Amino acid sequence: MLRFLLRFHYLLRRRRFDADLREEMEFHRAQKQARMEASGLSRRDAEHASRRALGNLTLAREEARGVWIWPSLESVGQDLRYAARSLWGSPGFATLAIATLGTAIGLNTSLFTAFHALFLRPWPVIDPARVVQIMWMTDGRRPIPDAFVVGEYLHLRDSTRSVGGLVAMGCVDGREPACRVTIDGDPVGTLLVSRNYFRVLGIGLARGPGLDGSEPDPDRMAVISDGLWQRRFGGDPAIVGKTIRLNQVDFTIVGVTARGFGGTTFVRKDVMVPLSALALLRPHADALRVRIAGRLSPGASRDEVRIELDRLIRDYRGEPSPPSGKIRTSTSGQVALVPTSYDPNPGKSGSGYFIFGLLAAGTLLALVLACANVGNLLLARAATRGRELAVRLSLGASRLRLIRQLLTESLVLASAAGTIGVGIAYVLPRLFLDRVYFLFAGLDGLPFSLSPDLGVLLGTGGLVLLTCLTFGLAPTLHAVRRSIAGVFRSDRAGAGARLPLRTILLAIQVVVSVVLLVCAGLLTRAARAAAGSDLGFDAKAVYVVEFDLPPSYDQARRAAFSRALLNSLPSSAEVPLLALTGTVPFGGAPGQCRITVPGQDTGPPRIVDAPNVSGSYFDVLRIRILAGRSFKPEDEGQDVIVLSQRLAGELWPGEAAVGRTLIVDNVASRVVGVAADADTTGRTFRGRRVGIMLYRPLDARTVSAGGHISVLTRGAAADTVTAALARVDTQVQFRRTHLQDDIDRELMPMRLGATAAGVLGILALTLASVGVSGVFAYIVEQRTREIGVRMALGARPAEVIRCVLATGSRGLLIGLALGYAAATMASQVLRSALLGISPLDPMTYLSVAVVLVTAAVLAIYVPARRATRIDPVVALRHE
Amino acid sequence: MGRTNTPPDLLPGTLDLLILRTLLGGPMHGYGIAERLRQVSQDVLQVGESSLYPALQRLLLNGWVRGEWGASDNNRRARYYTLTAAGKKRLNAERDEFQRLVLAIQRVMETA
Repeated sequence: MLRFLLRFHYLLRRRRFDADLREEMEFHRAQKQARMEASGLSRRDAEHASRRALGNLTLAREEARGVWIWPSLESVGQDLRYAARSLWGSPGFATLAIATLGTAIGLNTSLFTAFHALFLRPWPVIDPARVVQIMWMTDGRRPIPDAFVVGEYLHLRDSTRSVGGLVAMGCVDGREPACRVTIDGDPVGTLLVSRNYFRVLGIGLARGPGLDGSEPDPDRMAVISDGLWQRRFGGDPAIVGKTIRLNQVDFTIVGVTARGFGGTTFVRKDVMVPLSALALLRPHADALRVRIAGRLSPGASRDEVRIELDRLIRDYRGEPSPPSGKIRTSTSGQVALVPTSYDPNPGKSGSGYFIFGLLAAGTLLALVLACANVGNLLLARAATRGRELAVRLSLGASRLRLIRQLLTESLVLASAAGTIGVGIAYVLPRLFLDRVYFLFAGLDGLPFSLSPDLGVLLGTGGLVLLTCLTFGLAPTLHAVRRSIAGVFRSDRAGAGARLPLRTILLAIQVVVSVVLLVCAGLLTRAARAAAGSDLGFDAKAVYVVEFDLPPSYDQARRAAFSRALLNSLPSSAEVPLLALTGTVPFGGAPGQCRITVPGQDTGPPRIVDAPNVSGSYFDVLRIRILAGRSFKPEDEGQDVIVLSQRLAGELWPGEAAVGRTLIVDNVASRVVGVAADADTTGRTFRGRRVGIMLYRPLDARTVSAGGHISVLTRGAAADTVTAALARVDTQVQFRRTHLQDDIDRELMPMRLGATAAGVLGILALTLASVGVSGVFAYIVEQRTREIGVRMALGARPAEVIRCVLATGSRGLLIGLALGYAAATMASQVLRSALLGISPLDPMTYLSVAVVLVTAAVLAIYVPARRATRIDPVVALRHE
Repeated sequence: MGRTNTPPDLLPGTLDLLILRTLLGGPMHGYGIAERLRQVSQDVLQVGESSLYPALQRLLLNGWVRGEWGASDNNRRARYYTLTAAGKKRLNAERDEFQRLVLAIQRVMETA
C-alpha cells in the first residue's frame, strides 16, 4: 500500500523527482572531481575523468527512475504504437476486421441493451429495490400481473402492516376497449392510478400538487406528462388548474410530470387520472382489474409481506387461510412478489425470455463467426509477416514480447470494434423497439431510456477482451511458434500439423453459418407460411367501424342505441355488405360457451369460442355457408346457431349437422347452418388448431344485454354505411379502421422474428464468404512458390485449382457435416416458433446447402484464379 | 561503464544491505555512501552511480530510507539519506539472513 502511494506520488510529481535525481548525481560527480583534483589531476582532466567514471549518466538516471515506474508501462505504450502503425499499414485488413467484429459486437451489445432496459432496469422511482409488484400466481409458475379488483386493492391498502404504501394501476397495457381514452378523437395513453401513486413511489412532479391535493371534484383530476404539456399546451406555465377534455369529460389538470420521467409502464402514458375516474370515462365498463405495487416497510422481509398479503386477500375473498402459513397447499393460487421492470408482460415473461434467448444465441453465434473470421485473417497475415517476425526473433526479441505485441494488435482491433459496437448499440435498439412499439401499441416513442448504461458498457468491455483473446491468441501463438523454423522455407509452412489451425477455423465458420442460415431459413418460411396462410375469410377491403357511446348514456340509453343500430341496418338489397358482431376478427377473444350433444355422454362439456354475429357476417367476411343457411331476421327470439365445419364434423362425424339440437350453456339450440372454417381469432399465428367455432345470432336480446358491438363493412359500401350510422345517433363518434391492419399487427412478431433471423442469416453468409475467401487467399499465398514450380513444370490451371481446393475443402466438408448435425438440434428449440413447419424442413436444408456451396465456390474462385496466374519466374524469386 | 559497476560477484540484494548498514551511522548523501563503502572495504567495493542510485531509489520506494535536502561540507545542496524505523528492522532481518548465508558458504568451503 505504501509502495502504491509512493508510486502514485511519483507519477504526480515526476518532473520534480527527475530534477532532484539529476542534481543529486551532478553533486556526486562534482565531489568526485574535487577528490581527483586533490590527488593532483588538472581541473580539466579531473572533470573528464569524473564524467567517464560516472559512465552513462542518462542510462543511470533512466534506471533509477525505472524503479518508480510501473513495470513495463512504457513498453506497453510501445506495443500500442507498434500495433497502430502496423494496422495503419494494412488498411484493407484493418477495415475488414474492425467492420466484421464491430458488427458482431454491436449486435450483441444492442441485444443486451434492449434486454437490460426491458427486464432488468427498475422503475424510475425512489429506492426501487424496496418496491415490488404484487401479483397472483395460480399455476405455481407464472404470476398474473393484473389479477386484483379495486375492492381487493383497497382492502390490502388499508389492512397491511408490512407494506409502507400500496399503489394500484389500471389500464397498464391499455389494449382493453374500456381503456380507450381520446382527446378530441385522438387516442391518448391513459393510466388509472390510486391517488397515492406519486407519493408512495416517490415520483416528483414538475408542477402542481398532484392527485393527493384537495380538489372540489376528486374524480375529475388529471396529471399530464411533460410531453403532452409541451405538445398540446405549448408548455403553458399556468397549466395547473386548466381543464383537459378526456372522452368528452372535463378534468382539472393538477400536475405535470418531470421532464424525462419514463413512467412505470411499457406503453407511454400521457395522462394519469384516479381509479375512480373510470366511472366518468367509461360508465359501463366492467370492473377494472388493477396492477398493485408496494413499497416495503423498513425491516419487512419479502416473505413476511407475501404471507401477510396472501392472508389478507384470502380474508377478503372469504377463503380459509392455509394452515401454518403453507401457502403452497392452496388450490386457487397465491400472492407473488415480482421486482419492478418495464417488461411488457411481467411475471409471464416466458415468451419474452425465449425470444431474447433465441436472438442472443444468434448474435453470439455471429460473434463466434466473426472471431473465427478475423482469426483466419490474422493467420493469413501472420503468414505474410512471418519474415518480419523471424527477423525480429533472430535479432533477439523475446518470444513473450512478440506474443504481447501481436496480442496488443488484436486488442487494438477489438477495442476499435467495441467502440463501433457501442455506437451501434446507441442506435439500433431504439430503432428496432420503436418500430415494434409503434406496431404493437400504435403509439410512438418509448417512455424509457434505451441507451447503454454502465453495466452494458462494462459487459461490452468484457466481450471485447474475450473476443480479442478468442481470435487473437491462437494465430499469435501459431505465428510465433512457426516463425523460426518455417519462415525461411515458406513452402513448408504449417504443413506439419495434422489438423491445421486454418482448417479448424474454417470448419467453425462453416458450422456457425449453417446453423444460422438454417434457423433463419426456417423462421422466414414460417413467417411466409403464416402471412400467406388461408385464414378462411377475406379481410381485404373490410372496414371495422367502431364507436364510443357518450359516458352520460345509461344502461337503457345504450340498449336503445343498439336496437336503433340494429333496426337501422339497411336492408341487404340496399347495402349488401354490412354486418354487426360482438367480436371483431383479431380484436380480442370472443365469448365462450359450454356445449353438450343431447344423448352423447362424453364427459364434461366442451368449451368453444362463440362470437355473436349478425346474419350478414358471413357475406361480409366471405365465409362460405356449406350447408343450411345463415341467421335471418325471422330467427329473432329463437335459439339458433351456426357451426363451423370442423366443429360440426367432430360433433356428428359423417352426418349432417343442420337441423340437429345442441345444448349451448344449458339452452337447447337448433343448428341452422354449417360455415366453412375461418380463423377469426388469429390462432393460426400461434401455431394452434383452428376452426372450432360456434356462431350465435346478434339480435335484440344480445344487444339489450349491453354487450360491445362493432360494425363490419366492405369496399365501396363503407362510406354509405358510415353515413347511415351517423344518422342513428348524432352524439356518437364513429371511427373506421382496416381489418387487414389489425391482422398485419398480429403478424408482426412473426415478421420481426423472421426479419431479425434473416438479417443474422445474411450477416452470417457474408461473414462466412469473406472468411472462406480469406482462407483460400492464405493458401495461395503460402504456396505461391510451389504453384509456380508446378506451373513451370507444365501443370494445367485446372490441376492447380484442384490442388488449392484439396487443401481447403477438408475444413469446408467437416464444417458442413457438423453444421447440419448442429442445425437439426438447434432447430428443435425453434419448434414452437415454426407454426407447423417441420424443424427438419428439407427445402430449407437444401437451399442452405446450395447457398453456402455457391458462396464458397465464389469465395474460392477468386484466389484460385490468382493461383493459376502466378508467373513461375516471379514465384521462384518469391524467396 | 566497466569498473564503475557493482562487482559482478556481489550477491544480489547485498548492495541494499550495505547501504542500510552504512546509514546506521547517521544521515549521508549518495557520494558519501559510495566513498564510505570504498574506504571501509579497503577499495574492494567500488560502487558505481549506475547501481547506487537505482538502489537508493528502491530503498526510498520501500520506505526504508528517507531523503532530505541539506547542505554538504563544502556548502553545496545535497540529498541526505536517513535510515527509517522500517529500514532498521529490515537491516536486522537482512543481516541475520546474510550472516547465516556467509556461515553456510564458509562451512561448505572448509569441509567440502
